[in-house]
Amino acid sequence: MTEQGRTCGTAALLDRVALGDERAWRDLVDRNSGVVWGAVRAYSANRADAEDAWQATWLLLAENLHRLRDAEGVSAWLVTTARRESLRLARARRRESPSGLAGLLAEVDAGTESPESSAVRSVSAARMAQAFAQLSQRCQQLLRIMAVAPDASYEQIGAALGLARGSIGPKKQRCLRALRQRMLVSGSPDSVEGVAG
Amino acid sequence: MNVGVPEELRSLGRLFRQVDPAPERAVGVAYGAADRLVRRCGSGVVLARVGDSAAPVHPDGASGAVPRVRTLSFAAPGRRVELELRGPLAGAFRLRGIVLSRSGQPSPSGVVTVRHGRGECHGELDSCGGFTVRDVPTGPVRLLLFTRRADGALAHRASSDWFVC
Repeated sequence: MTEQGRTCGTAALLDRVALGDERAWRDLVDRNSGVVWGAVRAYSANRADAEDAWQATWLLLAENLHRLRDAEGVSAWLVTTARRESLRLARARRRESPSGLAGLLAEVDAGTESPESSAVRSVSAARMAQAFAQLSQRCQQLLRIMAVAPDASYEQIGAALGLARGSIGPKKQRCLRALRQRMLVSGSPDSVEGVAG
Repeated sequence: MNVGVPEELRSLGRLFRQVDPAPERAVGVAYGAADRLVRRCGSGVVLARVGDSAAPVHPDGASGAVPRVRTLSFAAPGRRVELELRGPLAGAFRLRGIVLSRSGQPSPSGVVTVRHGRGECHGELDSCGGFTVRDVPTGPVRLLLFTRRADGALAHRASSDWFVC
C-alpha cells in the first residue's frame, strides 16, 4: 500500500477511485486483499476455486461501487460477496469442504525445494498444520481469516463468516483454546514458536 | 503486526502467507478490474439474478442435495431469462436458455452474449426466444441480452452482475 493510501480515509479513497484514479483502486485492493483472500480460501476447496471467486468479487465491486452508499461499508460488502460467491461455487462444483493446512503443505512442490519451503515443512509447522486441520470447519474459517488479516475488524470478520459481530470474540477464544489443546496433544507445547517466520 | 495478537494466530498467519498467499496473478486481476469501474448509475438495464440452484441452503456452507445441472433465473422489467448450465466438459460449459416476455408480448429477437475473462461467446435467439451458448470457459462470467426491433436496430440492452460458473 502506498503512503498516500495508508493516510487516506476510505471515503476520500473512494472519491479518488470514482474519479478514475487507478492508484486509489490499487490501494483499495491492497487494503482489503488479505481479508478477501482469507474469505475465499476459507470457503473454497482449492486455490483455483478461490481465484475464481476472488476475481468475481473484485469485478462485482468495480461494477457496483457507485451503488454503495456507505464508504465505510465497502470492506464488509467485499467479504460478504467473497463468501457468497465462494459458497455458490463450492455448491455448483460439488466441492466437499475447504482444504485444511495439512493439504496445503502437501501442495508445496517437492521438486522446487527452497529454504522457505523447507522451513514450512519443518516439524513444528507440520504439527501446527495438523492441529489446525483437526479443528472444526467453523474454527478453521475463523482462525484463517484472523490470521491472514489481523487488522480486520470484528465487523469485517462477522461479514466474512456470516456471524454476529458480538459472537466473534468468544468464538475466537474457543477456537484458539481448541488449537492449543490439539497442539499439546501432539506433544509440542512450544511448537508455535518454531514456525518459520 | 498488531500488538496483542496471540502467538498462535501470528504463527498461523506466517504459515498461511508462506504456503497460501493471494497469487500475484490474482492480485493483478483485481488491479485490472479498475477497467470495469462504472462511475454512474443507470448505465443500462440490470438482469437481476433471482434464482440459482447453486445458492447455499445454509449460510455457512454447501449442504443439501445439489442438482446435476445448475439452473439460474434472471429478471429485468418485462423480461425473464431462464438458464441451464451444463458441464464443465474439457473446461467449458454449455448454456441453454430461453428469454421470456410479458404475457401477450411476442418472443424477442436478438442475441445473448456471455462475457468472460478471455472474451465473449454468443447465442442467437430463435423464434421462441431460446438460445444456446457453447464453449463458455470456467470462471467469472456475465450475461448480456441484446434485443432487436423489427428493422434490426438495437431495442434493449440488459446485463447481469458477474457470477462464477
